[in-house]
Amino acid sequence: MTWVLEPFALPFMQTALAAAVLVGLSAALLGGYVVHRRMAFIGDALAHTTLPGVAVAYLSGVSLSVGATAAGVFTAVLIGWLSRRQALREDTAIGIVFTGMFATGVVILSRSGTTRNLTDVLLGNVLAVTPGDLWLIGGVTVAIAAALLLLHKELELASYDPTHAAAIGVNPDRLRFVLLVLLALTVVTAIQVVGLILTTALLVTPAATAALVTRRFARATAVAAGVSVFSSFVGLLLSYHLRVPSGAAIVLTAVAAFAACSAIVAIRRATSAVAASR
Amino acid sequence: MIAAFHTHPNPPLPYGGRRHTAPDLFAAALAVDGLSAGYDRRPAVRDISFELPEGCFAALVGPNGAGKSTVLKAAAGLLRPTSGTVRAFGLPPGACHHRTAYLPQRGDIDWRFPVTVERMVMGGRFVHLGWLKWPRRQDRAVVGRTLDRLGLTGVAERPIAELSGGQQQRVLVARAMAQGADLLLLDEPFNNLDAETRADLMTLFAELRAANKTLLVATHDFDRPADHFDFVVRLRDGCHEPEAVPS
Repeated sequence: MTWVLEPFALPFMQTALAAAVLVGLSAALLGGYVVHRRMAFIGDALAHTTLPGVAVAYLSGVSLSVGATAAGVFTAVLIGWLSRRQALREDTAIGIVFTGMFATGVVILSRSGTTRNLTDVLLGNVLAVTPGDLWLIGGVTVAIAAALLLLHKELELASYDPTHAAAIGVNPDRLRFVLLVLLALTVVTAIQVVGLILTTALLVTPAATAALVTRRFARATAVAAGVSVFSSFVGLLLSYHLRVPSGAAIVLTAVAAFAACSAIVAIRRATSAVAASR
Repeated sequence: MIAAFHTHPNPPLPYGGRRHTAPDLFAAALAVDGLSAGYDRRPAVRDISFELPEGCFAALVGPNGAGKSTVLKAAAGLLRPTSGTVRAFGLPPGACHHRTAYLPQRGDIDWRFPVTVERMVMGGRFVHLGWLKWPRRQDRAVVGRTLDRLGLTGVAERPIAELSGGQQQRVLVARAMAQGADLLLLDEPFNNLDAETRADLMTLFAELRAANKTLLVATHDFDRPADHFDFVVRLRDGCHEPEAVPS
């Protein structure tokens, strides 16, 4: 029991846990849309494109979150605009924007003469989250939960049947744009917890785990949130005791949960098939 | 506000911000006059005109690429005509969203999305609800009755991913009925269905017609459409040769 409770007596571990849980929740809430609308690549791209924003913010002494948010929302707008016009195939447009922005970030950071912050941005450092950051993260989580709750029926409809949505006067392009901005906000907060390379995992893995268990969107979202909270808690615990990076530990816990659920579902299917054949 | 929908002559439309306009009681269910429309300034159809009275079961026939979907989309207000007009019950598309239902080709819908049949049919009620409103008890009652009427009660709780092609089409019709639509625009409902399922669907359409619904079906699945429909609009390369056939 002390093995479980002792780490969380430390103030910075408490802040880290709160940050990881809040970020995990907003990522899990959006994860259903990310997985079922096949937006995982966009999520990854959004994470990478925040780098120049972070770099500029770092060099000019502005809060890193502000820089990341600005870059993330800018990219969401750009991708939304490019894919609406369909001048380019969406994944091609994302590929160009994403790598271009990331390269810009690398160049800016290399001019600053330090790579210490680059590691934090790439791999995350949830232990460095300040109470001020926590307020921002909490605000984002509340905003995302509220937006998804209020727009749920339209977002859901526009996800599986954009034509019907458009026919009744709900613009699916605008809803997609709203989702992209929410995604950008989540990604920005997730970077602090798991780093930009692993951000997609928070969006995709809990939602994919939930999709194994239930075929209902609302239930799946609840399961994904549970997986997220579990991964944050266990991941931080493992990170503390095994002295491994916290972001990687959280992601690996989520992946383990996915693997366990896949195995259980496969075994159940096999046994019910055997039972049915008798 | 909700109660006002039935009593106020011009309640606001739930989506779109405009006010509802009372339909012209003597207007045709669908009147297409000199319609030209297309994508990216390339016209897909040119100068199409026809009129469907209420309770008419009509077909829009022609080979692939003839412009059938374009006509339906213009009628549903999904595509703005480059010239000509479209009127549903005397009003431009969008002025009374709920009376017109567009049933997309089944391939346009992501059937793997995790929603149940009941939830999808509830989508027909959204046009009466608008932003920030949850389905009410009366909406659930309408959906329940509709599912019952179409023989879908048994699959109400199933994910839409588990439906057969024929069931998918029935769910789309159920949604249009839950919406309370009087004009149904159906894009290739018979695609990839076997003969038996097609016949079932024709029976369902005949029932709707008997209930004074107007149906316009885009199809290329009938050798002699005039034998099956009240009215046939033939399209070829975006132009048409109208052919009125008495039922």
